[in-house]
Amino acid sequence: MNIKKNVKAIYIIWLRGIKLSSRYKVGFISHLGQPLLWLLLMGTGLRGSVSMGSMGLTESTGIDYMAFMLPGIIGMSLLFSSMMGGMRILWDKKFGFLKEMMVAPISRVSIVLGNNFSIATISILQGIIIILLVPLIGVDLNLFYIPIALLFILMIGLTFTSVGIVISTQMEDFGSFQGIQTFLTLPLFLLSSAFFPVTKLPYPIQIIAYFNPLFYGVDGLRGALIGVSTLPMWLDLLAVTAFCAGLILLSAYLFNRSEGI
Amino acid sequence: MEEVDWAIHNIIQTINLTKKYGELKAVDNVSLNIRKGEIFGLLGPNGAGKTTLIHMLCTILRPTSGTALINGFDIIKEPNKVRKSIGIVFQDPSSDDDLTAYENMEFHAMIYDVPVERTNILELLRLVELDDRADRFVKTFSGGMKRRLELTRGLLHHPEVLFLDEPTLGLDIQTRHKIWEYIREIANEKEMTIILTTHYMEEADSICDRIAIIDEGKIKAVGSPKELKNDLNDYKFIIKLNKNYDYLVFEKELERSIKRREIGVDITGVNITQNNAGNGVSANEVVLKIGLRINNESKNSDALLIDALISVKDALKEFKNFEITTIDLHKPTLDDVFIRYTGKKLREERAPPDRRLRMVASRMTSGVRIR
Ligand SMILES: Nc1ncnc2c1ncn2[C@@H]1O[C@H](COP(=O)(O)OP(=O)(O)O)[C@@H](O)[C@H]1O
Ligand SMILES: [Mg+2]
Repeated sequence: MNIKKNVKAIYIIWLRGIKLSSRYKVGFISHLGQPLLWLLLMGTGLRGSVSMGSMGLTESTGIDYMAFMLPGIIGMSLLFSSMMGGMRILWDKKFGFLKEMMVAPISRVSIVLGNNFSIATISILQGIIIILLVPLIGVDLNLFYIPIALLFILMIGLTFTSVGIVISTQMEDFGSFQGIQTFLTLPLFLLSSAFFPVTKLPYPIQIIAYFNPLFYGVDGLRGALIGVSTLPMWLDLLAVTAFCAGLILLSAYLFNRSEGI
Repeated sequence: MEEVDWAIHNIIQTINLTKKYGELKAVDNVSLNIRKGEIFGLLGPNGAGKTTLIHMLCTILRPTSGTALINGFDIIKEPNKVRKSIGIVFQDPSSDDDLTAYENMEFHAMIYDVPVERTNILELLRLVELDDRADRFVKTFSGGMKRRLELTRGLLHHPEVLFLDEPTLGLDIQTRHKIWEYIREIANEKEMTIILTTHYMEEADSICDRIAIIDEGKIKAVGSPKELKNDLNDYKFIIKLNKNYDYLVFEKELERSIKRREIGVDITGVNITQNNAGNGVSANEVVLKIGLRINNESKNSDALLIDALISVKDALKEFKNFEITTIDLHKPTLDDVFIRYTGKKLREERAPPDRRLRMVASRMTSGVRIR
């Protein structure tokens, strides 16, 4: 009974989020355009100049740098748009709508999950569009593994939306949110093997990368999309799922505890 | 026996409710009973703790100590049941700017699990004259329109208790009147208990069944506006005289002369101000203020005051044949009550003297031109 109610509440909050996102077409398109630009300009530029041997891959795999970068770029776009999306809670806190939800007879957890899912939905949609556009730039995809790729995309989306929500609950204004976000995203991104395998990094830094959920996300996505990965795919999936679950719980806990809205 | 009775009638009961922010007690040990179906006003200066109190009752702030029962449910132990019983219009805007008015209502209905048709929502919007804007984005609304939307949204799920935190703050006078009109209508039709906070004394006076005066987190007085004002028992005759004499010379004698007559009420002070032009006093006028207290509970206070006024007029005439230009009676207002209990003014402007009696007084004066 209670579960059914919570699911319905999550659905309602999710619906509101989707409705709001659908109103910001400019935001959606720019979040989509950014990774495509990266892929087109960086990817084509580096395609000829980076030898795959230096990436730890043999030339015989037939994978070029553009294909190598693709999962990284998808991961990056998910990272940015999910973290930004997590700010919606802060936005609602600032502009009053959160209070309206907080006095409603629905659980705090369903408010967080509903918001999380709606933002992740949009992120995933962007991921899918990028994958659909990929054949146009001449990268061959592993069609059979696309559902697994989408699973990784979902996990990355949920994980970083949760990170955004966690930051939201701790911050009072947009400025500090942006500050923290900038401070976090760059190392997360650079230590994710988006542009180069982490095995190329000095050993101590490599260790840090193993605490980065984006690393497992991108590695798994690379495995699914182009069949190359540092770790076995199942291990990537396990790790990213664990991070995701932990961060969702943390965001729900912090949100539940946060007062003074 | 009596306690059981109260439990039935009190839809809200706060028990030593306290909220501390560090050292600051925003709400300090508040024990209040609010009866089912009444319009209850919380009056207090900025920072008195009104919003904090309401937020605790609405379950979005956790009390530091104490608790409250709303509709029989404990705000700490059964917040979800409390939430089902209440509706609220927050002090700050809380509608979703990027949704339309209709979508805001629809979303609210879904969250509260109220089955509604489009026609129901339009009907509610019509109540606040927003039905023709149902499909516009809320960000295009004026402050007053947003307020009206929030008000009608708060009613959508038929709450037992409706909280209105400064529903008219920052709105122009026409909009304010409209909003109070809606609130009155709602209260009459739906038998809802309404708890509101406001800065506007006259409005609180005219709309609230009972009022609590709150300052620095503490309840200073509770009662109906009438009770609170009567308890103050502080009336004034404000008599303007033509400046034919140096009145200050007569102040003590005049006081004695008035007191010698049995005017039926106690005189608490006589005070003359000269050379005080401006503020409705012209250069050739002198203001005589006579403070009064009613000591006879059994008689109608208005009748007593009018008798007293006639006696005072006679006294003035006999004493020196003073020429009276106007006479006003100042009855205690909620402002006065407020100042008495908090020692501060809520707003800078003064409330006008009671209108009805002022008319009586001026009608009397017109016949009392003494030459
Ligand atoms: N989140 C908070 N942190 C610290 N102090 C607060 C907080 N919220 C309110 N206060 C303080 O509590 C007191 C009561 O505030 P409030 O309830 O908003 O008053 P009112 O609504 O009567 O104007 C004020 O002194 C205010 O500064
Ligand atoms: Mg307030």
